[in-house]
Amino acid sequence: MKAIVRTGASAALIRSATNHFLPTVSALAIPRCLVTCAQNSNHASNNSTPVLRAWVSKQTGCWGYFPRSSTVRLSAITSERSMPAFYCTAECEAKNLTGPNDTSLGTNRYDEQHQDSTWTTDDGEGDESIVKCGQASTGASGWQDRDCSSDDTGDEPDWNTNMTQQSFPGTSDRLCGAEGTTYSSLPSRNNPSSSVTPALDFVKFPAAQTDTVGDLEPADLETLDVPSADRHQPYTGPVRHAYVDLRNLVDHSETLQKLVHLGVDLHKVSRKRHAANLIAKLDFESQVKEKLMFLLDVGVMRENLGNIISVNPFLLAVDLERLERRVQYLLSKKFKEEEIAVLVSRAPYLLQLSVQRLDNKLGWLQRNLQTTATQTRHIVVHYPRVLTVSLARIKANLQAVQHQLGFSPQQLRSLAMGAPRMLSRDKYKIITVFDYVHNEMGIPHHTIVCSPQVFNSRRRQLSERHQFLQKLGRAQYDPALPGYIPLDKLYKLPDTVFCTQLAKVTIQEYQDFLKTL
Amino acid sequence: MLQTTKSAAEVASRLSGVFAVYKPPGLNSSKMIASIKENLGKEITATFPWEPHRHDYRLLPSPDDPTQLTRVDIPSLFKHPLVKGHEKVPMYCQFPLDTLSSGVVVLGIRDGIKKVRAMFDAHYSRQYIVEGKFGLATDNHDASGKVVERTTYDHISGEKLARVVSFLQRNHQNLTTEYAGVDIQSQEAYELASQGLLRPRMTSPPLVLAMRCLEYRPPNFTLEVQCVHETPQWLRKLVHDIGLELRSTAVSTKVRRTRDGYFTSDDALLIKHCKYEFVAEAIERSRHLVSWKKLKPGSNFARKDSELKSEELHEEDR
Repeated sequence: MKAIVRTGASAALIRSATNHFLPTVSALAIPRCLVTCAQNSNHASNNSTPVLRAWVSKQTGCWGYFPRSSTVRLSAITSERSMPAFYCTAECEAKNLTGPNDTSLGTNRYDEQHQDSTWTTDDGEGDESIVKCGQASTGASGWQDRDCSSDDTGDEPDWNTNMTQQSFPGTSDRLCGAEGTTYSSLPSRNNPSSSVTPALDFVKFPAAQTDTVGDLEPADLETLDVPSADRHQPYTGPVRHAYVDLRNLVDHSETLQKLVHLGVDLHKVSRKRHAANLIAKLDFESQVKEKLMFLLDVGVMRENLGNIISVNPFLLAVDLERLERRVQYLLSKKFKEEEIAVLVSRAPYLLQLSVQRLDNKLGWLQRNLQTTATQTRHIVVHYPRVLTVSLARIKANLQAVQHQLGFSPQQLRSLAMGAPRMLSRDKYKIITVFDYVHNEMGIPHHTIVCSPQVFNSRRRQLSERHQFLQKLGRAQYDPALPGYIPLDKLYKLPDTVFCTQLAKVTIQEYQDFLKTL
Repeated sequence: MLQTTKSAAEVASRLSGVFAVYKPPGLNSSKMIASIKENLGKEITATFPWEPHRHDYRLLPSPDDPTQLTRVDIPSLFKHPLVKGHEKVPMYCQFPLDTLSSGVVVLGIRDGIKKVRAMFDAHYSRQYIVEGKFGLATDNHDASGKVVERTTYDHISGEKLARVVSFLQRNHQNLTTEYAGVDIQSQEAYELASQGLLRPRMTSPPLVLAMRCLEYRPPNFTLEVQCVHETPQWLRKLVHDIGLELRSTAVSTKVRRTRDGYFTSDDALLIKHCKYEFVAEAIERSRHLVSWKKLKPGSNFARKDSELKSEELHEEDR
């Protein structure tokens, strides 16, 4: 019975997948990403609108990326709240179905695990019984309520206005009505195509089947990667490779070619899990162009555009009004326009964070470093990534510097102001640098605070130069005594200048010394 | 070789040979090789231009007359570095050093990988400068490890140290004759030994060919070791054994490889100098050190060409 179910499920999936075809991509190139997007497009709609436009026009649950092959598990497919919110536009968010995920957008680079863990908890709640649909929807609605209250900064547009804008015939009703309809124990509808739940609806899942005595438990299906029972089907599951090839597509897609000419590093982009799929499906004229024009309006230089998109390709999927709103927020916090241009170029993930999140981070920074608003702005402008890097790292570094290394809070503040990059550096690197500078070189705390950039340098470079100076007898770091060597000159200067000015030898001598270490 | 009109792909595929790098202490060997590879590849991609390997054409309406179609050539971006990634430079190291030691490491690029692999069968000797310290014993025989024992070392004089070192050297040299592949009683063995060419020519346990004490300032001492088939950790164990022989304990503070086969630290590049120009120049400079003649299995450090020829004649006679 189970086998039949699975085959039926996968066959139905494949049947629905073949109905969709990316119009912009030639039939010659069928990379895996194409398969993914074909399969993961909303199976519900066998509408005449092609997938790309359907994707654009706010199809809910469109991003069917499942972290595990969940061909049989309806809950994962139906719970739109568990879809990553990268590509869903204002309407989706208006319904707050992908609301919770939006708040984690800013850290999606580092919190992919976080995403997946939200997934697991969701699926864990709705367990094996296929009455998940009802549960899923109630779960979703519960989440929606929570998000309604938390995201009340006026960031999200109203529900009602956007519902009427829905141009799609079937799906909006499904979604809005999803919470409303009381599902019976079985989704026993006969039309596989028009419902939100994909093509598995026509398959009857009697409740008895959930307590399995077969070879596979439903819980196993979470961990298994079996595409289909008979294994003669091509793999239609999610793409899990670290690298999805865009090379085959680039000659056939105008978007990709234009992006390459802009300077976007497609190789780097395709290393991010969902990014290649996103980029491949974009249309330059309608989607990418407006975002790029917006970035240029903000003040980003033309040369930096490519780098920004390579680092954060998901920026092309954020809705324009949200981007504008975030820039407005930054302006309201008294960042100047040139500063905002710098922020956006140096921290491409900055505009991915919602206003709420930006606010939280700025507030957290200010509270924990006990800085004034101007000082916080100074830190952010000098190191914009402090807002996009994971908070845990900054927290750990602050703890380490204060309690392990023994700096006072005032000293910590001046370190952070002088070298904000150390806030997100690897904690153990900071500790090793401090260990060498304080214990081997004998430099006290107050001298280290005067040159905070030492925490951004490498211990090996410091040790090489220190040992060279020791051999020459010039290793003197006390400002009171003659022949004082300032710490920041020790690591900042390039080798040639270090040799001539500080050590007063030839560069060849220094290189010969390096070969005796 | 600097700035010609070659494309990046061509330059990357032409770069091949063997060169030596000086590894600083504290750097993981495989990380070092990976970063050298990557930086070299990225530098080549950046300095040399990209040339499309193929042109596609599109038929588009011509600007003057919309009804006519003209052919527009578009370069294929399939091998563009922004699509493909930077040029790859395959590199290999046959005898890496571990993290705590430093010294000369021989790397091979592309066709040089064959030669570097052949070095394994050539059974080259390597020269190390090992610094040690009496009075401690640690778990990994290095000064950075966890201390297991502390001992006194006042009774150790320089003469005692030299005696123990020469005793160890003699023991190891007795073993080398075993692995030289000749019968010790034969005339051939005598001739080889008189020329100093009696060395292991087959796989053997680590053996010391020559060892001497360079410096002894209690508790620190420095040894120069010429050995074959060794690892840096084995050398640390040797230091520990020397300490035990002297009724004390010793740990090594520094293990530094000054010669790997024919490559000395003068030939070695510093890591910051591993750019395309320097690497190409180093390959050219050391091309004569990795001739196939020198890489023949069982070849020794023939001091004169005549000796090598006579040896070859002997082999042909046999």
